[in-house]
Amino acid sequence: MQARFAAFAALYAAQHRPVWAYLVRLGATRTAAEDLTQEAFVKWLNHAQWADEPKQARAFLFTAATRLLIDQWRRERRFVAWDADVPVQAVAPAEDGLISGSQWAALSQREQQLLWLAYAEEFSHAEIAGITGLAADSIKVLLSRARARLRASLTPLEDQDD
Amino acid sequence: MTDPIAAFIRGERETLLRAAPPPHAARLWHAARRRRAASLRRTMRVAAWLVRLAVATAMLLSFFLSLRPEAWLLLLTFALSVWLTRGACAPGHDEPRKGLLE
Repeated sequence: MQARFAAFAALYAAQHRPVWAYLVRLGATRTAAEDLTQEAFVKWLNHAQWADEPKQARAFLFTAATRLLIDQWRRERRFVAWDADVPVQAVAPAEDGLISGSQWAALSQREQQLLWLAYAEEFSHAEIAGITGLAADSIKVLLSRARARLRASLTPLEDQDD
Repeated sequence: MTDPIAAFIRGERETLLRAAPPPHAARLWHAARRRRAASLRRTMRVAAWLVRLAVATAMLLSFFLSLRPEAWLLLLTFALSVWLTRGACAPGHDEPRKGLLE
């Protein structure tokens, strides 16, 4: 039991903040993100093969967190516009100023998710496919488009700095 | 040369990580154990009620099919099943789904 707790505590210490940050980036409020992060870890504790590789644990946690967030949005009857061009989340970040909304505004929620998983969390394309439920072959193309759109929204800012 | 996209996203990540709430591993561990125990209790309760139902159904079937077993034996079996499952069928408190650490 002690060894199990030690392994859990190590994983929790390492991954709690990244999972929370990911959920906030996707549009969850701070408190909702905290609740959902805990739920994801409880799912991991109840997972039959929870002593897997840490890398698999990370992918499991982000997958669980994504599903829990979508479930919560469905419970709230919120429209989940993953592939819409209209940016959905704006309320929570604007409240606490944690996220720079303007640069991300041109991207759909799906593009934001893909960019975050690829560049902030450095998941492989195969892992991203597992987390998002998309086809592995499409990840590269979608990421490339998302990069181009984010670059376009970042460029005016860089020009202003110059 | 650094990738500006990656640098921008990692900068955002650092900001968020600094703002994240502190972890409570021990409390979450115990909360998860309590939840597992509550889930097990719910399963046991369902199983116990199924046992009672099965015994009662067997009694009724036996009666209506005119197998004419000893009435006292049937009643004793039913009473025994109720007595054996009394713990599992006792009303319990289900844990709330949200607010694990509250």
